[in-house]
Amino acid sequence: MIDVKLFEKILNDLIKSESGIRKVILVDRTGLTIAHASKFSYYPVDIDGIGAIASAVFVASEEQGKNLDIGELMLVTSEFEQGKIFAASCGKGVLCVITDSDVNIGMVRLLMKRAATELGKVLDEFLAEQPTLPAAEDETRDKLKSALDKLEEF
Amino acid sequence: MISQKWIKDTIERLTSHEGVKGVVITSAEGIPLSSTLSSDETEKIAAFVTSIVDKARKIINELGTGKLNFLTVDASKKELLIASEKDYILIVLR
Amino acid sequence: MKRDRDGRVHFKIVFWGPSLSGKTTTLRWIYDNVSGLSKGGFTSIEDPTGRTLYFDYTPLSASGDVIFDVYTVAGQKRHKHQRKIILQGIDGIIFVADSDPSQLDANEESMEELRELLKDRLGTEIPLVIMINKRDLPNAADKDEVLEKLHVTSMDVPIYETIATKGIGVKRAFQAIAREVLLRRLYNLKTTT
Repeated sequence: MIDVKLFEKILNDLIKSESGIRKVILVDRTGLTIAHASKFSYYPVDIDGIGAIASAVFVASEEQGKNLDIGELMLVTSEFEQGKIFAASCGKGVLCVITDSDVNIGMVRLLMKRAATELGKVLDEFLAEQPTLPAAEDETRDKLKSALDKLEEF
Repeated sequence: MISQKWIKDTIERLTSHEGVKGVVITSAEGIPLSSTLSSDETEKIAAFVTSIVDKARKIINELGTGKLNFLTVDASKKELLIASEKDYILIVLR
Repeated sequence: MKRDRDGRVHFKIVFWGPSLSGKTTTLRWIYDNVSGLSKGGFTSIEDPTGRTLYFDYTPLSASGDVIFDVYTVAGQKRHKHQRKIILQGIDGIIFVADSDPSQLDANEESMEELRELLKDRLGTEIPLVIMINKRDLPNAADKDEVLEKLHVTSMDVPIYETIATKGIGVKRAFQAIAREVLLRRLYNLKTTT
């Protein structure tokens, strides 16, 4: 099994390599947040909700590209008054970087490209080894059983 | 101000000098505007030089020595000549 | 079904149905009223009039180890592409049908679109539960009339009559889809309850 710490290491390296980067999130294309890292952890945000939007926004842009027949989507940049959001394709996932508004865009793009290549490989492996139908392995089975019991209680 | 003509003229003028191996013009945000090099190399140079210019500006600001005009990075194989303006950075490799 | 960085198992459940049939109302009611579920935030992308523009999302969990990532889709016709995106990685569907007699064709169209997107995975690999919502409408269409339009009579899916604004039936409908999804993965079988 792939060590998810590896994701976090890559994300942490990315966040440290440029001063304007505040937050990095890795999501898959179905909206699930796989890993994330923040420079200011006291800044409370709903990371799963942010990941869900990040994935949906990127995939929506991809869909738009298909509709317009302009090829594969590489990078989405969203510019706000007080910050920027970059999202880049990364294998089966999307790498999302939240920065200050005066960040070195060229550097962020460069760093994201490098990290995306590295992450993409690990991520595709991680997602490929997800349990598939019909047999769930024992540990997962127990979790599902207990969820099933709990389901009757609420 | 920066125009296509100005960019073209500047690049032509600089490349005509002997020993110039490349010219990159980048926005103050590190986005390449024009270059005589490959796109990979251009992106890399724009990103890292913008980073060093930002840092140099901060230092100069702290020291109270006015405005940053020019930087030279002298390495064993190449030399980088960096002119920093408000809206853009002009980089010559020599 | 997916595992996350902490080893928790995630299932993605989507509320589907025509415009204004009560998908967001149902999810909101579950989020606000059902105790015994631990919840994350409630994320919505809506237009200025409060209608769902893209999706709603909230993670719900009964046991901590297993999380249901629950989404609604935007029901209006023009948001077809957004709906298709939300269906990616889907584990279960709750179809929210409208009992208003004038909406029966809209129900049918919405179900057709879902079939088109999921093909024969719908109701087999991807469990389906149906909510017939707005049963309190004075002129509510007959239950069988609603179902007939959905072309599910041969499919053997759990069906719940609900009033989402009052929360009637919605908890049971959600429990049903969650149960179907879990059983599907555990025993690779389909149950009706």
